[in-house]
Amino acid sequence: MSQLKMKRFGLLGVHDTGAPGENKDYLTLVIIHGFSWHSGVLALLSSKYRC
Amino acid sequence: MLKLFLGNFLRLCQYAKSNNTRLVLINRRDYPGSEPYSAAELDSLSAALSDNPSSDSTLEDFVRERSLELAQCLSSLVAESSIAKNSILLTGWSIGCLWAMAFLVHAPMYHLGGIDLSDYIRGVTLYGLCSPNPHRIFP
Repeated sequence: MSQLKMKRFGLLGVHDTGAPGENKDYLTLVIIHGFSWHSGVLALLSSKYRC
Repeated sequence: MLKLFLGNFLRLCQYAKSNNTRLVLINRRDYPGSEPYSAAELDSLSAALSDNPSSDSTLEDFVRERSLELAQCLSSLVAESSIAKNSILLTGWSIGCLWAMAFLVHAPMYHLGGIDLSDYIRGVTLYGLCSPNPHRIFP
């Protein structure tokens, strides 16, 4: 099973899709997950959707 | 329930780029890729949940520490990425809303690495707020 690529910012692990294009004018949507479910459960999808 | 959850994030991932959006998913402490809570931090949380009269201040301290590490995370993101000012939408989902609210309460006091996050945060979303007792955490 592939794993989501995680970065470490301080004490927290983060999955970052990166800038959507060359233009710096974009929205950054930062999401903090709820109880139990976390970004790691996306691992099954990451290779298919390259996200 | 697992399929429902995956479906939610699947939609976000595939539409992020076409909607000119950078998606940043943070794992809270104790989740994969993040630092586990130390024994002292877990002791502090246990004390905060006790009936001891000092437990409210202990809980406030615990929440303040979580807001600080979230601010440190976002400051590093801004420092290392091409993030424009007024372009970050911070979203808490379910119990994650408590972290977003803690950020709102405490973050204005933080200027980490010379970065004033209030210049970068466009807004905060509380999505599906779920807390049994938020007034105790944010009196």
